[in-house]
Amino acid sequence: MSEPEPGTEQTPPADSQRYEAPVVEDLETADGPAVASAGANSNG
Amino acid sequence: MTAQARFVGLARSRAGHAVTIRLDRNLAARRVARRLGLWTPPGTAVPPEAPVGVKLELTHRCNLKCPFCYTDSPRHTRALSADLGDDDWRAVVADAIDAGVVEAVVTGGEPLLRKALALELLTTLSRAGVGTTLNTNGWFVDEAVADHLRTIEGLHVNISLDGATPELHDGARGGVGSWARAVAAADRLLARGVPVRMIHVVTPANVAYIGNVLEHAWLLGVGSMRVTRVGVMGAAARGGDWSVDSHALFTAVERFRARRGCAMPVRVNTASAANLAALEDVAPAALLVRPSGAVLIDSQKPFRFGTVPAESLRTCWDRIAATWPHPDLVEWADAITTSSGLGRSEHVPYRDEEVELVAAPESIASGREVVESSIPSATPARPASIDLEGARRTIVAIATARRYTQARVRFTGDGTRGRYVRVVEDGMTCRLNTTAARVMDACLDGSPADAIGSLAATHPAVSREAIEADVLGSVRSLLDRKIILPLPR
Repeated sequence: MSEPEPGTEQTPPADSQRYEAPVVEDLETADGPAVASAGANSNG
Repeated sequence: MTAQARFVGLARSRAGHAVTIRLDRNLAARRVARRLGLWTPPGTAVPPEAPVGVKLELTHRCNLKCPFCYTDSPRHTRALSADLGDDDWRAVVADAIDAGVVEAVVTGGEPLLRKALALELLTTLSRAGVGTTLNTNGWFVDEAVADHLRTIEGLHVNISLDGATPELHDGARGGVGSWARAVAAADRLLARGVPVRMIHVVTPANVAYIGNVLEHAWLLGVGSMRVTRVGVMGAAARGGDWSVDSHALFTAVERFRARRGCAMPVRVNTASAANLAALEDVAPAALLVRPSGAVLIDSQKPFRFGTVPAESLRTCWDRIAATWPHPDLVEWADAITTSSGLGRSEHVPYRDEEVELVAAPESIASGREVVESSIPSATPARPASIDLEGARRTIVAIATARRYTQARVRFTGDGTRGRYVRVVEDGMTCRLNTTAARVMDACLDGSPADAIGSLAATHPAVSREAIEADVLGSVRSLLDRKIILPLPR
């Protein structure tokens, strides 16, 4: 396997990245948008 | 603030936490506290105008021989105790629906020894909008039964699992192969989306393995678990030592909760007979119908208030309500001063004939005499060796082979190979990290085994066991949120 060229970074394939335990995170409820409402307060 | 809260607060401020614990767990102290007006138990003091629920013991008989069986089914099986006929039970169920019950439990013995009747009655109750629960040891839940149970809306199935391994479970239940049957039954129902709760009876032989049985149930995908100590009644009141190390029990449950969170709720039933201490204050809300047709309040009070189908459930209920709390029942309960005292009382539930409190027709079916010494009543022995790892491998193989499909969802990437997922049915949105997203992908018309294979290949340094548990935990999360659905075989 050849060394990477100086000045370039070799990104490892995503699947060989550090193992993360699976996480399923609940966002906001059906009362309103879960993601699109972020920052709503500052919108006045 | 309720009277109970005031009492607990007083005990804490004057004497500290230890007193509170002692009063909470000691039957006599609880009773004194109630009578002094220091403690008001939860529940209503007056029976509702009609029974809210009904428990139907379809048969005395069982194919297994648990020496702690609270209904004493091994004795009745040998005695060929008579059960109500099919038409009688149909009439009782019609009567229960008429009386307005909102929930029903179909139990035994082993109710699936009367398979066609049990399925028919559950279906009838469900079609009337009654919530149903089936208690079973799982032995007779084959593919056809599971297919039928799947069609019963609102059904929950309770399956007995008394050991983390076949050695522990089969040794306790007197039936070789019963662990495998119970696990297979749970798998068949879970694969069809039927909610499954497992009931674990703690004995001196299995108390050291509670953590293992909880872990195995969690890996299998069971929805919830009830862990219960042996109530000294029925077969257990005829012999054996059923006391277990409470500290070991609660410690194991707490460790499991710390490890797996609340995804599989575990309820510990201490079998403390505490409701007897609160007898006059907590009125009955449901009825119990024994296989003979005798109508009781519940399984802990050995008193008969009538007989079906000769009389209606409503008539029996009105008797209960009119005499509540019946002085004979109160006198009997007052003589029970400790949790284990139930087994030494004048009339032990299920071991002795029920006491008839109100005159009823002499139509109670009676079984043959039986020689009590011929019936198992000893505490199960601890097996010489058990194969915990083998049992775990079996459970994991079953759970990871189950197949799933995608529910109606929309999803989009989060920029880190994870994703946002919106469940169309309830409008909930979740975020999945990379690994959870890979599990979701593998479960789209595939199985958790595919996800485990894929993750193990890309992360060889991570133990296979850890990946298996992670994937099965993730599948549970995706199922709970209706992101994936079981794909029946």
